Amino acid sequence: MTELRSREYDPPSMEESTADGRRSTLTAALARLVPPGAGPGAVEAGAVDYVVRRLARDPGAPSVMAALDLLDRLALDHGGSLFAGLEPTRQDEILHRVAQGSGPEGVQVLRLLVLLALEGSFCHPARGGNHGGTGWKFAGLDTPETHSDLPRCRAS
Amino acid sequence: MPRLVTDVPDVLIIGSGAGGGPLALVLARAGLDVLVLEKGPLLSRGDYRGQDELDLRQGVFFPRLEEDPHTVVTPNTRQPVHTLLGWTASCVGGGTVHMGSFLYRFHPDDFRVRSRCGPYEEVADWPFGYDDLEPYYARAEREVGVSGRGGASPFEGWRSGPYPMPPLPAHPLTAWLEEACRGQGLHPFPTPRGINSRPYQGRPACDPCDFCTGYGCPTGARGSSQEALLSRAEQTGRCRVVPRAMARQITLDARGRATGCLWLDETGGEHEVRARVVCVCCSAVESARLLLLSKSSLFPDGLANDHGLVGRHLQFHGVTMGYGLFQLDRHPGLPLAARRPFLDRSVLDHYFLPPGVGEIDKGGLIRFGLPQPQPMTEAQALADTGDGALWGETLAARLHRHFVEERRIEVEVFHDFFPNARTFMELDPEVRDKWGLPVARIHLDLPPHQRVAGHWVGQRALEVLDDLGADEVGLQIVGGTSSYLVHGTCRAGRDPATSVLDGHCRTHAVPNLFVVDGSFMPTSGGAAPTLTLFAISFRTADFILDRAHSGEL
Repeated sequence: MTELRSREYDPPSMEESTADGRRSTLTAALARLVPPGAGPGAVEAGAVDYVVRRLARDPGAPSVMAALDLLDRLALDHGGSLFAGLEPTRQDEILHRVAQGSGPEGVQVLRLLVLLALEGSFCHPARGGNHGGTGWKFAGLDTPETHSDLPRCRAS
Repeated sequence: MPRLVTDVPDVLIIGSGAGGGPLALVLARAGLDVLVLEKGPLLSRGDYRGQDELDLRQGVFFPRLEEDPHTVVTPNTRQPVHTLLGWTASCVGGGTVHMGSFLYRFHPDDFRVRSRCGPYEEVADWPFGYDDLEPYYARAEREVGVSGRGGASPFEGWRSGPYPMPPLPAHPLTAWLEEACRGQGLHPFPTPRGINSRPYQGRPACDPCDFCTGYGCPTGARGSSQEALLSRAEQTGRCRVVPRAMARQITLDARGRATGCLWLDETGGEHEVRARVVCVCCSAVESARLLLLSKSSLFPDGLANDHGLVGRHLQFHGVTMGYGLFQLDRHPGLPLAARRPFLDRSVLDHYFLPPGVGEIDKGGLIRFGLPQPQPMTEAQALADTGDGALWGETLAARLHRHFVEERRIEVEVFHDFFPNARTFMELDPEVRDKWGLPVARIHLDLPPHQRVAGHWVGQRALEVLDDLGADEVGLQIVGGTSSYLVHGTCRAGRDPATSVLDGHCRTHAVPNLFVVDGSFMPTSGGAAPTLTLFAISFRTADFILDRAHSGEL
């Protein structure tokens, strides 16, 4: 049964295989991994845009794409839908399965996505994440006049 | 890139940090032509304005490990490991660009540890004393711009005058912290900072932001070598700073006088510059490396290394870090919430240990402060369990607790790193940098007293935080090794058989060659050393001027 479903899963084409093509999976995963509490979650903080932008030029992209593929594959196997299409409680079941059931590789998948989500929540807004300094404000930093509102200049 | 056409400058300065900056300013002001070569890039306030934690992680101020590493060997690692240990910075302004700006003076007895403490490992007295350096401490404080309150601690050395600026505005918690210190019989004083508490020398007062220690200052309120010294040196029209210029060899004439250097640009193109006086200011590991790379028939084992001493006596700085954790809702009376301005108080009372604590009586300086915010690093550390990660509601709740419900007071103890026969640098026999030159190999071993002193003084600091009501206190690092603060590789002394430099940072072996950075320090001092490096450079500049006027140089 599992085998069959896996074969039914149609991997995205090369064009879709860009990070942006996996935005829905990424968004759904980050929403569950770093959900809003009293502060913003990773999605509200802009981490999705950050990860998408970073993956477009990052040599580490394949491992993230593989992580998202794993979530979709497990979602199809166990829930009959891509990850983004599942109810949050089912999504959490998939994430637990990844964390516990898939050996060291699965654990690293979760760790990779969580650490990336936090990067995107607390990076400089000009990197695409931390929208409007949301993450910094949550962390008690508040210096938009010297940092977040100004463009980043790079050394030549 | 064409060969740089440079009129022969009077003084060539290699390196632009705390060692190179004062030399450039004083000598250019006095009318000498000065050329400063800096291996790293030129960054500006605009660059610093946009920095975040990822920039720091990617090492914006440091060379790339794969292109330009050091290697390190410890008693526990048989194989040399590639490392950034011993790099202060690689950019115009050097380590002063990203420094915390804790600009303390050393204690008078830091200049005479051997006399005070007796023989211990390789400690030695300095060839001059606090009284000789005091005028230059005062000058460094004026030129760099230090905010502080002189005479506030009964344990500090004498001062010829006040700080040029009053202390920075105090965090509302300061009064409580001071009371807790006094309750332990201690004498807290405002931490002297190389940060403007009022507009000073054309640079603005600090408008406290969350991007300070570790970052470049986006407003110029921090007195880096770049902001406070090099920029004014350039304004004289007699000083030129060339970034991305890697000195690879000091050149000599047949009489054994330094004639200048060969340097490489980014494409590997080689250039030569000739000068009357050469000052090596690359920080202790890299300065020693440059001397060792400068082999010649007169100095087959490296320049000024005729006694095999260059690279010996390498020291870092002892560092012990601790914290007090406060749950905000349990301390309604304490003004803990604000993250600014600075909570800057230091204590000198345990600079020397009571009898019976350790093999010798050197203790350390306690600095209390609020931690430099690193929200990304803090959040990732909370989430990362090593073999996995917290996630979901568990993580959200943990982040909320950390960022919203808790505050920390940070404790840093600066203490000596004792020179010893097992800690030194040499040229790596195998690893080369991107220019094909042997890199520095560091051999590192810590005498046991470093941990003893760090633990004892650290515990005293935690007692203060305990009295302040901390819900939890702890030491995270005990007797550790600072990676940026490096000293000792060209020890200064009176005897050419046991030292590389004389009391004015001039090599015993080559009369117009100076090494002006942490390299000269016979012992590391119990306080952060940066102000001492600035002061030594001002003192050396006066010596060079004096000898230039008398025709000797």
